[in-house]
Amino acid sequence: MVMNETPLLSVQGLTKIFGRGCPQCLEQTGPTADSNYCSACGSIVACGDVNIEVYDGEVLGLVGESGSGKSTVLQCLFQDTMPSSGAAYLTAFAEGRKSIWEATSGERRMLRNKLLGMVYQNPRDGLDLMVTAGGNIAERLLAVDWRNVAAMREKSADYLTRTEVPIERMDHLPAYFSGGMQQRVQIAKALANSPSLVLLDELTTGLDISVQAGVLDLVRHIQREYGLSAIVVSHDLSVIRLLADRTVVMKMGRVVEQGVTDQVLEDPQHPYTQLLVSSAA
Amino acid sequence: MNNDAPSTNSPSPQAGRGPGGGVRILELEGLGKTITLHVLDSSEIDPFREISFTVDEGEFVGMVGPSGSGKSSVVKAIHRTYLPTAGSVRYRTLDGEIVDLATAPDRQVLQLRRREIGFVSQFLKVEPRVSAVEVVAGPLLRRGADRDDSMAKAREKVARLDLPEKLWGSYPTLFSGGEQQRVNIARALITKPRLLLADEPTSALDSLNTGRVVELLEEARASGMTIVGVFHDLDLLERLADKVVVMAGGLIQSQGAVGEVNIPRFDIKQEFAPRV
Amino acid sequence: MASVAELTSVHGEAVRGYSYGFLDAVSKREIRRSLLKAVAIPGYQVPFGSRELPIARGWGTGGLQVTLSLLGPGDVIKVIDQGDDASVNAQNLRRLVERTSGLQTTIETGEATIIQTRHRIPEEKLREDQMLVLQVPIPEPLRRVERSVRLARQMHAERDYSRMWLAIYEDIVRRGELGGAAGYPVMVNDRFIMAPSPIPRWDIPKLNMADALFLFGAGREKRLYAIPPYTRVVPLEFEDYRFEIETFEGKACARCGATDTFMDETISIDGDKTYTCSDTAYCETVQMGREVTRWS
Repeated sequence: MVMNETPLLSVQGLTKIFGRGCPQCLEQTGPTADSNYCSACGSIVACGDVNIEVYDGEVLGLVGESGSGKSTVLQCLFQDTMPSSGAAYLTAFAEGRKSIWEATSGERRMLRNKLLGMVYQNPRDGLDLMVTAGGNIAERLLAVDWRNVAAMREKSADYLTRTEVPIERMDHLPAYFSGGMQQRVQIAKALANSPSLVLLDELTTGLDISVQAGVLDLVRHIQREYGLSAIVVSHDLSVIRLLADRTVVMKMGRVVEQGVTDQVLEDPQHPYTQLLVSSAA
Repeated sequence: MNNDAPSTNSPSPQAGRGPGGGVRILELEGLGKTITLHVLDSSEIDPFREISFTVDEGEFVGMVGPSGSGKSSVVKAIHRTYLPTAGSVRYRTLDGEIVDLATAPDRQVLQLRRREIGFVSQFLKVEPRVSAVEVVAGPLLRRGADRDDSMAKAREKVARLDLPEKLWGSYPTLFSGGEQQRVNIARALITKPRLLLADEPTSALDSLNTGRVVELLEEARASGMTIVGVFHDLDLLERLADKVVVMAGGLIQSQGAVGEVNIPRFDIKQEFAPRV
Repeated sequence: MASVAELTSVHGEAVRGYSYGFLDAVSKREIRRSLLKAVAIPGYQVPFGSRELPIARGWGTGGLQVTLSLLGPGDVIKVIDQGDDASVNAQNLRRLVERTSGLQTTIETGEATIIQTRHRIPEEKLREDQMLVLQVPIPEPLRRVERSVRLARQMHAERDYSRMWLAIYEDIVRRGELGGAAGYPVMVNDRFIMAPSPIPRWDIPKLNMADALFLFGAGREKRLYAIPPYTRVVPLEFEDYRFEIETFEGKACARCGATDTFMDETISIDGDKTYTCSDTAYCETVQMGREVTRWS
């Protein structure tokens, strides 16, 4: 029964090349070549032939160091940037029969505002700091044609409560919030419209430790309470251990290992994963 | 409020056969593991080899052996925390399906862990800023159970383990080892898994706490739970276990009913065995 | 007044080379083509090659180019500025039109075929045979939320207006009501958000399902757009925060006594406030006791 389960998200052959690209790009780069740089044409292969699945209700961890391509995967999924090749099928989009990268501009807006949510490492990328906290959330509601102010405010207040942002700050500008609270507003915004899948990019990097703990706890709590499906990108193994059910390890733009999180972290198979795990405190 | 007992009468722990009536729930056949340490010039280590034994539903199987014998690794391999490299771990699910946990897809493993297979480690893996009761309620919440209901059940469980009420809302990071482990055990038992895997759950506990845990395990067993665990406390094993598997050097030395197998008294003030 | 032919005979060289209606035929054709496109796509800003005129940018060159491209023998022209035919700007524009076309001009709204206006729509209802040409400073309604011209065009193309709606929501949060006194953004034909030029809220409802043709010219910004007759034009509003026009409750025009027109407020040196009809021509009709049709 489990075997036939259709993944919520299926990414197939995702490749992103910066530069003109050439037929040798994939073989010239990757973990064995230990490089992202294609010496034949000078392009950078940010990720090459990445295949990933996320199932309903699970959190997939995506771990790797700089240059691993993990953030590029998220950026492509959220369509901040378009991949060079590949397909991604989301069951909530066209019943999983059309790649999200084939979407029309109207469909793309739907994906970005309703079917998907994204939380960036830097709140500046996910929020308009000069728009009120409530307004940032309302933007997503407006994008799917909400036209009642009271209803939007109630909904925004609800999301802010879920992410433990004091309601009194709903009409304040996030520019004046602490980093942790900005992240909470971002999370609240990403949750608006109950997306199928939430993408979290280095959620806690740059935050103080105590603040990190709070944000992580919040995400776990929300994930449990609302059965959220998510991809968590982090270079921090403790974040992955805490949040992810399954984990994908990336190096130099390729997937090198994937499995159940505790197995990947306690019994890593691939040399790179072993290195990564043994390097962590 | 004992809601664990099934309708049938449960035999005493010493009867040797669990109340499941002989249904085979777990079968390890030729299970082996080779670890390639790439960071150490690819040298290889075999934590265990040729592990074969069976477990019937409702049985309590104890794994014993000196430190380094591979017993913890075997238990972890059943849980799929360790990836076996040879052999099979056939498990009969609640639906009657036979699954080889060694090669099952990750998704299925996660599902089985959520629904049927539990694990108690020697130490609590602390989650920052999560209260004790919330930690215990976690597995229920993860299944989507009602929050208030889950928290109530969690409180019951920690009460059974005599965890002081003032600690219930507090963070386990601040607890003593014994208190943390009680939380750990409560968490493992709260979903009433069909198969409970345990890796030295009482090694870090004093005799009083060990006693409390033993009570809980007895109850669990009486209600039909199958338990496969590494225990260093031989008195506990003689009291609870139906079957014993003795390991040394990564191999099984002997196995059988607890009354029949000679369990060597190892020099055990079991330090935390290294991962291999 | 003199026609171009007469002017040429009197002033000779000075006016040679000017066409009827100042602009050359090629320019007029281009502007008319752009206007046709604008009419075909209500509310869409059509770029055009804005010509040099003997008035500076920012003084109505867009509206003027529209008027000059459309007028012809038989047309009667009215020019108003903030509702007033007598203002300096209105006078100058009217004079230019007269001198380069020899056409009749008027103050009577009902007599005009083309009315060029800055910042007001006349109180008298316009008919099917009339055109209103509005002078537009900033044609881009999204300017306040997106400064990039390219990105704003993309938003229009994709009907992606959530940031505009967000700006209106933020206005409500900050002030408790819909913001914007003049030039309130409207949704035209359920497709494009449009800047109606800085007309007061009072005039916004006139745009909806009107008999007349509305043409908008922005000379400096080089855009033309239009609202054809019987087009739905709706101000941006929320279900629970609706668009409202100004009220002049308890006030009456000091000249004609009307209580149902858009009024200008004048404050004397002593601090006394008087109110007078902004639409001076309409004020005249009331003073003379003439009945004219109002917008519904």
